[in-house]
Amino acid sequence: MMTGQPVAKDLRQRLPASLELTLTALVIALIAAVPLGVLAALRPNSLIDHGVRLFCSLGVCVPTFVSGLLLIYVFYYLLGLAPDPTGRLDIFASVPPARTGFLMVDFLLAGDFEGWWAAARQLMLPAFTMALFVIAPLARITRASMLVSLGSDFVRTARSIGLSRWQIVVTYALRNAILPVITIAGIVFSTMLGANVLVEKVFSWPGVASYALDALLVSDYAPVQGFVLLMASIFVVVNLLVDVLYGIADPRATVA
Amino acid sequence: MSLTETSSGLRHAVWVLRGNLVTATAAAGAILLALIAIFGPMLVPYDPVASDVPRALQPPSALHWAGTDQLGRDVFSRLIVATRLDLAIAVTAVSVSFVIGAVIGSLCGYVGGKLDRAIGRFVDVLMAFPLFVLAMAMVAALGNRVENIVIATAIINLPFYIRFARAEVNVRRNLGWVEAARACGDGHVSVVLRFLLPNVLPAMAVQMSLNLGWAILNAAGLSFIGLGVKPPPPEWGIMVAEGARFISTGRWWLVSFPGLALMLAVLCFNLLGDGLRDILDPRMRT
Amino acid sequence: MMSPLLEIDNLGVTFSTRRGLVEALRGVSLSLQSGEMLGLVGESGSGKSVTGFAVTGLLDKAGRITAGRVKFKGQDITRASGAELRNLHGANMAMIFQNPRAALNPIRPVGAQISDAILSHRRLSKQEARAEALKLLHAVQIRDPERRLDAYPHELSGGMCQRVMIAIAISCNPSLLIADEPTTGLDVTTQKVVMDLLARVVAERGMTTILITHDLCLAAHYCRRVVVMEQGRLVEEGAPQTLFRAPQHAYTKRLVASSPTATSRVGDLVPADEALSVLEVKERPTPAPGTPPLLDVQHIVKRFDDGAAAVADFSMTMAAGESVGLVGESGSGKSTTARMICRLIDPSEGDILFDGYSIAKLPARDFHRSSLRKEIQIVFQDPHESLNPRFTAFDCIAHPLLRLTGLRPGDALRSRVEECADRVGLPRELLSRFPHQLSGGQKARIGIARAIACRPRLLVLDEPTAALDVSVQAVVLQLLDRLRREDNLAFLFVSHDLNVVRMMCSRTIVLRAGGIVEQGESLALFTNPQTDYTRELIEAIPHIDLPTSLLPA
Repeated sequence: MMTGQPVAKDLRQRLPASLELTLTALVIALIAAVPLGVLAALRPNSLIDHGVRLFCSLGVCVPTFVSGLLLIYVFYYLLGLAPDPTGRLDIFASVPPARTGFLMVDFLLAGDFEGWWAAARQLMLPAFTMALFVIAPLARITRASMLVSLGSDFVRTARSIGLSRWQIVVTYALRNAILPVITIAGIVFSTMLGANVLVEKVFSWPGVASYALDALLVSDYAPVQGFVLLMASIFVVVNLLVDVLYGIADPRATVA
Repeated sequence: MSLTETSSGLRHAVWVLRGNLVTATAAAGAILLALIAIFGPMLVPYDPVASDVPRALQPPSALHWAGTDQLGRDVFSRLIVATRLDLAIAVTAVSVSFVIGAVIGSLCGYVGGKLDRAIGRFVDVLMAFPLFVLAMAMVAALGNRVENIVIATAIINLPFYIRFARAEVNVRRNLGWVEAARACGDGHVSVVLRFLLPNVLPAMAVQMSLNLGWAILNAAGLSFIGLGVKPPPPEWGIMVAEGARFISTGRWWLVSFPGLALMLAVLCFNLLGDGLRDILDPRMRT
Repeated sequence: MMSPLLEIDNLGVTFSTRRGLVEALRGVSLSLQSGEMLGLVGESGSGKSVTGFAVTGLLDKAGRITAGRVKFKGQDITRASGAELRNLHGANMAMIFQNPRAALNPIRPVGAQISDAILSHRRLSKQEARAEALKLLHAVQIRDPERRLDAYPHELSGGMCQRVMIAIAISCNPSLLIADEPTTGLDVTTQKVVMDLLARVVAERGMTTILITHDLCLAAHYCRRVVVMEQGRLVEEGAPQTLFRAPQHAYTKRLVASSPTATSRVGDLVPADEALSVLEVKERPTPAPGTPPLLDVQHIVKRFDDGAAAVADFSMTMAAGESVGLVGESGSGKSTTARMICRLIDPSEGDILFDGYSIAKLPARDFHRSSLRKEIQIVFQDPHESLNPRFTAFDCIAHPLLRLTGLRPGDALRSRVEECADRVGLPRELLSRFPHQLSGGQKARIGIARAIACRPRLLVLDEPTAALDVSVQAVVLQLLDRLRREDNLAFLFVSHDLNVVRMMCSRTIVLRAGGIVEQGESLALFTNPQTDYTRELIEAIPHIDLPTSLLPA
């Protein structure tokens, strides 16, 4: 109603922005969390283990909007490294032809590396803020799962036949340990869709969440309903993907 | 439960606390928060809602330990007073959720069958929505008031308790001593109420403590985006929202102190939850 | 004389636990010649598995070798480094473990796991390794080996998983094989197949073997030398005949006495000085003619949700004071039958008459209100699981009294509970303890005390001693036998252990896949089985051939 366009069109226009943010954050989080969790499990009670556990305990306690704002303070105000934290792109920069709607992809497709770098810089802070929130649970589940895996009977068998350390840790322990991590990653994605609302507000990111939020505050409910339904559908799709992934990874899982 | 249990229970609690410094600190922190929530508003140095515009936006100093905000209000006093509101919302929501969820979940886990499947579907549908978004939508639909934050938070916490209770009861349902109870003359309802629930509750109490932290974050998040609690009564989320405008100009104290308060509160409850598990599991007693 | 393949010299192993340091092994010395098969026998806590793990360097992180040495092929391997151990493992020494399905990687095909083992010590191509794996599967007699190469562990039975484990262990031709309780948890017929295979394979390849087990008869059957361990110490060693005929150490005497054999009697299970006092057998009152039997089960059937029949047409009768054994392997339906008779689950068809009254018609969920509930009680298999962890021992025994006899908390209740505790030999001061503070044997006694508290007339025992050590089992069996004769209790004794059933029950029923295969008087059934299946079961029991004249008097 606000924009004079039907809600569906608005949502479709703004969806890529949110998705780009969430997916980048998830990738960053996984790249950080899984190795941390594995390392902590390989050296229990060491400095790195305590460090990871401390980080996990604290990580779940800090709300996304606070960490986002503090990151802005440190990287924008104090260090001047980050660009002005408003929106996806500097208002003076030119937007590439919209092929996918994902700026990172579109800039690459257009061969515009300067624009790509500008967009990437804008994306960094909000993506990191969201990633920070989920690194903690992901690292924790990786560590716990890895510990169980390393202490299991079949790893003992692997040791008893003299397999190399790499084979034991990766082929035997890690592949088994990663299964619950896949499930949790799916759940974590749901949390991130919710955290979208907060991060998009802090960084004025033009995604679906801030769209719904703005509508909400002026009591325009149609966008809000559309947003909720959209979020639910995305989550269902993601869950299906996770189930499929899990089914591939674990031969014991039967499709009900 | 016999009398021997309660006295040795206390002794055991003290033993665990003494042996585990972290839990003891967390417990102390939680008690401190509760005390602040109850008595804080009476002891604050400044009136949390009185504006004093000439003194606006001052960094922390000896006079104002956490600085002043854009209306000249003392941030520290507002912080203390906000404790009551945030804790009240979280505790109420989680308690309601816990009780309803435990009962429903236990029944589902024990009885199984159609009831279990129906409730399972309901929980699945509920969990299909990103919960924060759902809470947002609920508060929007019900109206922008504090009570609705409580209701929304309670509802989005329900699935966890239902699933948890159901799983715990399911595991124990087939254990030898449950069958033995039935051989000794207990019917199904009696078994659930007198045996399964007391064995399931410790694990759920851990969940409760962890959920308290999450509920606080939820309430703060909702307030941050403008739902639920409306200014001027201080609340940690609103304080961050109001301070957000000034962060890019370097006024860090408006966001940091409420953020720190949030973090400490959630940390206390999380650590306490882990420690509670050690105390309440009778198998850990020696 | 050749130098021994393995020499263990005064080995000591300590574990750091939550309660401080625990010495798991003390001064264990052993030597093994090449080609020998040694049996290492002990109960729980004896340190037998720890010895195996210490030799192969696979001790848990919390355990450390604190004294002594292990020499393999003349080399001291006590403090071998990770790389040295990796060289040893697989190529020189291998192990097979207790729970075979858990010991295999659940998400990797078994063929790949065997290939992994082969490739870690030999330079072969992937295809060559796979061909080798196939050959090994043939060697361990797995049917249809080409298909099984790509199977996952959860698709294979327990016996097949153990055979795969054996294939993995022998893949690089180690000189030493340590088998840690390889057949625990397997059915007795599967156990025989796996053990025969193992014995053949190690004999063919000239491997030295250590067989670690709690079953003295199993070790006696397959090994030419047996070593007995207790509480981390080696107490006796010798040939099986010698150990059975003339045990020297007090513990060995106890172990030999309590291991049920084809000819042992309940009264002999515990050495004379520790046995319960001999009871004069009371004259059993003969029931008046025309009274219905205590228990009359008529054609009960149990069908589960998926349509499969767990129990098909089971019938039996029992008189007061009689003891009937129900034997079968896993999946035979014996537990389900026991639970139907005990009215914890409903039969799909058929009737159960107790003292002439039909109890099957009363649904299981309401049976607790019937006055007959206290007449039929049940003793469960796992003492660790069957006691409410939040109840003290007193509460556990008092529970049925409070619910079924109308006793209220007070002196009458206390004296009745104490009386039950005395009868089962549980010291009164243990009544205030919680289950996790008690031993397995003590928990089993509480389970029995709870079952007899209301003076039932029929006691259903579902594998009551399966989870207990053999010496504890001996005492519990004697206790049960005595209680039965004192109270004229009828027993329905469900078990997979045929020797125990033969000792305890005057009649035996053999079940298979939910149907009765054979039934009759125990002695006759065991000495002269009528059906092939029963004969197969009896022959599968590991036994030691002893001339009857030399049995303990």
